[in-house]
Amino acid sequence: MRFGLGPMTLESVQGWRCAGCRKPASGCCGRKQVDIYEEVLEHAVTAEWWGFDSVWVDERHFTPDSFNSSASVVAAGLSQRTEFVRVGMMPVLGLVNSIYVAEEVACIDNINAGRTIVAGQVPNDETVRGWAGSGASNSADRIVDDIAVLRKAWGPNPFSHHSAFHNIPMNNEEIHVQARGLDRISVQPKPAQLDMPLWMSGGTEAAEVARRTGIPYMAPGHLTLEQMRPLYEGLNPTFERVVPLIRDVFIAPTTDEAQRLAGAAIRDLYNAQMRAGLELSSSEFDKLVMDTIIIGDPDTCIERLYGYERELGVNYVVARLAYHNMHPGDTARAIQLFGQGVVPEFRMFGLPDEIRKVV
Amino acid sequence: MGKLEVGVGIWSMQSTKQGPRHFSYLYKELMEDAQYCDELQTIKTIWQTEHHFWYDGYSPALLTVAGGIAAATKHIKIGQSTMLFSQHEALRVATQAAVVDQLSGGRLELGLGLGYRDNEFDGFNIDRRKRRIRFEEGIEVLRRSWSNDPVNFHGKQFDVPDVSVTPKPFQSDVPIWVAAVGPEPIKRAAKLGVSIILSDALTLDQLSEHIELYHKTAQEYGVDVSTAKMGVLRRGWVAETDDDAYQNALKSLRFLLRDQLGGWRYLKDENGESVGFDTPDKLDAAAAKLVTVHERTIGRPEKVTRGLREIAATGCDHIIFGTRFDSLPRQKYLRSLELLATEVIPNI
Repeated sequence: MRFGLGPMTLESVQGWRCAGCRKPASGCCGRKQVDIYEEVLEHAVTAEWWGFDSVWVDERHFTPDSFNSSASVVAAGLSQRTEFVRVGMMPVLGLVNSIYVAEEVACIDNINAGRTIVAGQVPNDETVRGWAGSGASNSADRIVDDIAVLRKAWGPNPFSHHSAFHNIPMNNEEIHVQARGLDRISVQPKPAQLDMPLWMSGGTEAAEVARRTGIPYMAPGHLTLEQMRPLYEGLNPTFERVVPLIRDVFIAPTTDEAQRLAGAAIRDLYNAQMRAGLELSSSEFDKLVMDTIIIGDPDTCIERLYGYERELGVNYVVARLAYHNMHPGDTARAIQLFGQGVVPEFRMFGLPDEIRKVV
Repeated sequence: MGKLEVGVGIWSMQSTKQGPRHFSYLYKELMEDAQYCDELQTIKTIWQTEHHFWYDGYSPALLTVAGGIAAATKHIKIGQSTMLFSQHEALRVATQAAVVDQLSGGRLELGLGLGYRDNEFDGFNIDRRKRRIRFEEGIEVLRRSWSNDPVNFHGKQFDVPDVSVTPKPFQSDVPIWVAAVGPEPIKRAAKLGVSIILSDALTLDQLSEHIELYHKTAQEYGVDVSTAKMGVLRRGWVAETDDDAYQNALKSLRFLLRDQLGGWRYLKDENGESVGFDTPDKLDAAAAKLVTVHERTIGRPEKVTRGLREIAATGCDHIIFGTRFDSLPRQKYLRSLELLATEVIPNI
């Protein structure tokens, strides 16, 4: 099993305290979003050092908690700061002409010399409403069509694509003198990778798109095992194929300490996301902690992760670990402990027990 | 004479026939260059440029790449000269620009242009004839997106309901620059009160006239332009001697002006008509004329300093020192930047 850090969400909620503030809550200047962006770049470097395979950035639109709205921009930043880890980005598809996304990903893949993974997302209804003027849709047909355009754009040949959602290039007989007669375009530059890893992430709709397009599916952090079973079924994982999963994780030397450091922070984040449209009741949150959120010491984390491997065939976990309402120092320590205490268990086949037990 | 700020550029990330390098190499160099300029401190801004679907991979996604530059640097501002705004979805530009501004700690200088190549509009399924209205409506979408109120804009090209774009930019007022080629675009920019980037084809006299026109128009319409900057793109190169500079830069400058801009029908003849490969004599003449315009900023430090002072005297207060030429030796290029930063800019 391999591990990624993230997805980084970069939200900032009014009332969050600035890192290390010792003033009473009323006197704290508050947590600035600009600092969160810098912290995320630093967490990526920390994850690279401690043996993670990738770092991830998420994207949502029009949220009251100022969730990151451009996976592309932050992915370019992560690509620049890191040297070896893969850079996972989760653009929301279905909003605009897919050529924009294709070009952005191609540039990112050249900045990081071929380390990009793209996990597309299906927009929610509010996002579609905001982008309706650009022709947005969250139908499976639209997302499948976007993926078709992305694949053509990253492929080696000039192409055209005329469908219910795209008209590439437009018929220019009456309009454009220079381009008259050119019935194909070539997106340039091409990505550094020959075959860009393309996954889908999200709920039922994303799983359906993954099934229709034959690409890996990655469930989000808030889905329970029972909810995920049907989504992963029928995706025909093979021995070589990546089966990814996102989990909200926090780790500390003891489970009590992990809960003390992160329990309230994660609840606070879920509350913010519920205000932002995540459909979840408060009582469900407690169930989530039992079912999906992994908070604990290394042994607890390992046991839970083996469960997902056993039940769903998961072999790639993107572990959140970084909650922006926490002190960045606590996050950095959690990244280190996860790298030393959890990743080796899954990455280092044949690890002797005597070495495993070394703290 | 006002104080002249100097930015450098324009990074196009081309892997040309003459210099067919791997794109990862080009982007790596960009990040190294950005860090180098950042450390030199006197260079205020790093400028990017955009085109789409061109054979050599001309940089198509400026705000995305700006995210990389932001992560590579600490102080230098990041500008676009220009993003072809009419070819984009304005709401997407608003959201991405806000994130770049957060990631850079408020260093975005958003430079916008209309775009002109038919193939590019075709690829995005946009009618080129609508480019002006897309541009004007797009500016309004940007401003509303970055305000504290919902966007709520219903135009002919863009329709955005009562959604709030988040996150907001770090800067309360992201500087907007507009490429202003000719009197009418200059008047439109003045009415908007935005900074302008003037054409690299203008002589010193024309620069003065255009800047005067901008201020006259702003005054006429009662627009406060006290924070607006008057920018111009000038190709330039600094070396120890004039001969060295000519030897390094002139051949590449001719290639840039004749072959690349010729391929796009960017240059104009004496009658104002676009010229391209189908009229080689006219293209040669137009390119040769432009070489003479830029020669004043190619040479030893004293000569380039004098050339920049002449530009400052026209009312310009920001020059985009266009020093990115194809296939030039890297050490000489870095030396040119160093001379610009240490021996030219402090003496303007």
